[in-house]
Amino acid sequence: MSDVFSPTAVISERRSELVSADIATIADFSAFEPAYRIESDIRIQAAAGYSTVLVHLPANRNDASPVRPDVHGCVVEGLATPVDPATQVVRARLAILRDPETILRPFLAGDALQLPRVLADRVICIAGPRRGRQAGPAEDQRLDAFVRNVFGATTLWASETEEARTELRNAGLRVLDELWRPSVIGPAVLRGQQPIRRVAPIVGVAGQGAATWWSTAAEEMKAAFALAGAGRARLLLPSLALAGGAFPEDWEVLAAEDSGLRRFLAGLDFFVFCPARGPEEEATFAIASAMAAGIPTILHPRLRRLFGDGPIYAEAEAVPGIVRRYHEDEDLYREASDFAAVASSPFGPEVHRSRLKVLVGVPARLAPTPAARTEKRVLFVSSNGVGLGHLTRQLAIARRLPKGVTPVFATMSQGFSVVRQAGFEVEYIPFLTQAGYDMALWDVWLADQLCQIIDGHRISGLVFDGVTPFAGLIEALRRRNNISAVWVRRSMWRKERTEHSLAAQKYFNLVLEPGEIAAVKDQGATRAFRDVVMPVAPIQLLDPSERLDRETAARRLGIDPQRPAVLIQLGAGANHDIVTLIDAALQTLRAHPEVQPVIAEWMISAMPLKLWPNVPRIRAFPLARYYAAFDFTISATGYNSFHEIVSNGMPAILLSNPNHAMDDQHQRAAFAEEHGAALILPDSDLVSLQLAIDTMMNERARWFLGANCARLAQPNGAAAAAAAIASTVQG
Amino acid sequence: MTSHNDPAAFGAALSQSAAAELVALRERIQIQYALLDVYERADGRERTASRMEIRDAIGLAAEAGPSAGGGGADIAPDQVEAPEDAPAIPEGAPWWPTHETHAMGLRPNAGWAAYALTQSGTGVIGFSLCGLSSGEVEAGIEMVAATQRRTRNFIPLFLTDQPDLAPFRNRGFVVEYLPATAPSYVSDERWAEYIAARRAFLLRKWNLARIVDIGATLDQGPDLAVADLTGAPDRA
Repeated sequence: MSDVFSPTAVISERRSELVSADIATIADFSAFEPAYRIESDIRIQAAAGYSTVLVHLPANRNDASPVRPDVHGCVVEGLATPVDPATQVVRARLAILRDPETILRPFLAGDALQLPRVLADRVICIAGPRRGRQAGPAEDQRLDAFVRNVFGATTLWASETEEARTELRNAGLRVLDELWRPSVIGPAVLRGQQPIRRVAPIVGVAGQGAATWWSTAAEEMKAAFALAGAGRARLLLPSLALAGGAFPEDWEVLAAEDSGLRRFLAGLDFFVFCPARGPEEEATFAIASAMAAGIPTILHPRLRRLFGDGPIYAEAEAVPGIVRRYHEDEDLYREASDFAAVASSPFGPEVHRSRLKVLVGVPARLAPTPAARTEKRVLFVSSNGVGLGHLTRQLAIARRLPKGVTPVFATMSQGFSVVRQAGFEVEYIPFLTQAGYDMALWDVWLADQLCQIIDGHRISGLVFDGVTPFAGLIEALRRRNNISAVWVRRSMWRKERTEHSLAAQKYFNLVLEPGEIAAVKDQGATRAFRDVVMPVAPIQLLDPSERLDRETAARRLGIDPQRPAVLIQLGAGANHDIVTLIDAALQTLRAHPEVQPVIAEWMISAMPLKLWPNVPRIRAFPLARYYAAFDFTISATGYNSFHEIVSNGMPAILLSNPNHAMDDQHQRAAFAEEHGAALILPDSDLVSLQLAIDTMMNERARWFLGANCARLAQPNGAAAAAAAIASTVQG
Repeated sequence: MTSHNDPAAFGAALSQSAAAELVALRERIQIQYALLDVYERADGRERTASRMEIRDAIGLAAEAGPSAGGGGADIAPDQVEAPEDAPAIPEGAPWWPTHETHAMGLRPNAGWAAYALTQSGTGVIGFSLCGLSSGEVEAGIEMVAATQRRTRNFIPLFLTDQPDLAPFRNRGFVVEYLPATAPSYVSDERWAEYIAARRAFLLRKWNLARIVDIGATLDQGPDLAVADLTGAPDRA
């Protein structure tokens, strides 16, 4: 005994704080391999009322790698408490050692280390993967003696595979008869999503284990993922597996650090695992989780003995046809989803709960830990833009979220006061332009700030509205890797814009595309990905019933409802000259003295538009609420303005912002003109402006434009977007 | 916005000559801002017609009834959850390592009146205007701006709990927002901890030498509030 209980591993005699818990989990929490299972176990324990403490023992004591976000997320949610091995003594009813041969190796080697002080009634050692294991029975016996000496308790061994169980038995250790099967979080947590009906399915696989094996498996999986344009392949694999470049370019491949398993699965329509050979435990947990989430699961027939009748079984070559058939038939898809969920029960939470009942008994305290909040909070993150477009779209969605889902905003827009005024919580993050334009550095701090906000508000899901998901945003999603992530990505990108930001869609479990009335004119890069996004009708802040009538609107604005009025709304002027255009419009309108021009000043205007002393200015949000007070508008053609104009049937002279960073406003305006729904003004063509204004003074012309707008108008898609987002966070 | 999203391209474009041009541009902005300021002060009156400010919470909260902070429908009192207590999340503890940023701090724009200071080695000081009314915020900003014009030896980074950022934006100052009241779902105690953590974070993010609480010294004159601006860093 003395040879294993070396002097350097003596428990410290310092005064210590005592921490009591039902279960102490001792593991290397920075390791990818067990993280999924540990997270799942913690959640099941918390839901059953067991208290859990976590003792982090990195296999390499000099390695300060961060704890896996899967596990840290449980700490943030209050489901488990980490303890300091140096200053805290743990008294637990059960200690679970994950992969003891790895985490206790430094102690066995006699390195000068301080042992964790965990006193448990019972210790269960979960043997790690036995692949390529060098240790023999003698080594196992030595480890067993060490554990008994240190933790002073009855020690049992358990394994996840039959092979390992046999080895442990051969070493003469006390081994549980039952395998320590994966126990996955039940459908109440994972199966929250309504099936998202994409044009083409996203088909994926996730797994752990040896990187080299996955490279080989990828070769076999190519036939299964050869969907020939009828879908997308997405993989979540150990980081090293990605190094060999074994994967086709059009596959969306995520490393273990890029996403949690739950978020990854939430983005799939089918889960496929069909290598004909190789160790199956590499994907067992992911398969069981996918099934529990109700994702139709297609497996190689050799796995039938493990997973029973729930999944669909097929060789790799047959997979594309099966995917196509199930995706096209909604009833068939739903049936496969239900079968998968039901068949996942042998891997459900009850597996772990029944183990705990035997090993621990009932929880020490009756009040359950905060396992499941009924209220979910969604963080709406938006970039600055040059106006309020992103923020307005998010407000449109946020105010339509169902009961139990609360929006919180984190925006880079200085116009965030409108969010406060709408009654929502808001955080503000100064944009890159205010921080010396150092993009790389700004991203580093963005990630930190977002994580702080996510933790502080206990966020369950994040919704980003913007063209480019910043690197800092992606990093925050990696660090908080199981909150759901939705990208609201409007289309109509300029044709010349070929940014790689579209590749970032793999980090989101849902990409939601707000509709475009002018969609047929879309020449942008997002068109190539339209088959795998969820389309909704154009998103607008207001429903028709929320707009004011002419009398009321005019009275509130202080203008005469009996006289014609023109609204000049050309944007914030942040990236193009609006002063010249406004001046030209006002000069032309002087020929019509009965007309009341009003200039709309944007909430985040660079400077006040006070160059025209006799023309009233308004700062109102949202302007569309007051549209009825006006007979026509001279307007920019941003997404929100355009769709509000068309849906209000407002006669308009449209100007497109020529800045190359903007959306393709010219095409949008051209579409309206081609359909007789608006007049358009080519850039800086002041002569045309005069003609257009003269035309607008004709009542029949205005009627004609308004009627054609009504023909093009579409219903508001904000409620559908809100429902889809809510479904990603609600269990 | 997105034109700056390619750091490599942006960096390459910013050659030495371009950098010199950038400095010259900053100086021109500074001069133009000063001229504008002089003209507006000399004129002394608003040269325009009335401006209608209608910022009425989207004009909908009272009428259509979207629940504030509660999504699209009202939550009955018996469904409101009790405030949550903060979990003990160790920060920076070696026994529970999480991601920690050791990057250098960001550099805020110096304000239009001293824009050329932005890329100088001048220190950055935080000025908290939290707890002040909007009128006092204006006064506080002016006090700091006046001191900066006189001393030209610091860049301010403001902290405010007022959601209207126009007074800062008009002067080209950078501001961080610290919400004054705790959300309904967070206890006051936990919110106070959160705000304290945010202040500590902002010290690192902007490499602030200190945070001066203007609210405590506003009525005692600018000299006291910004005295010893170049003193030793105080991160306590």
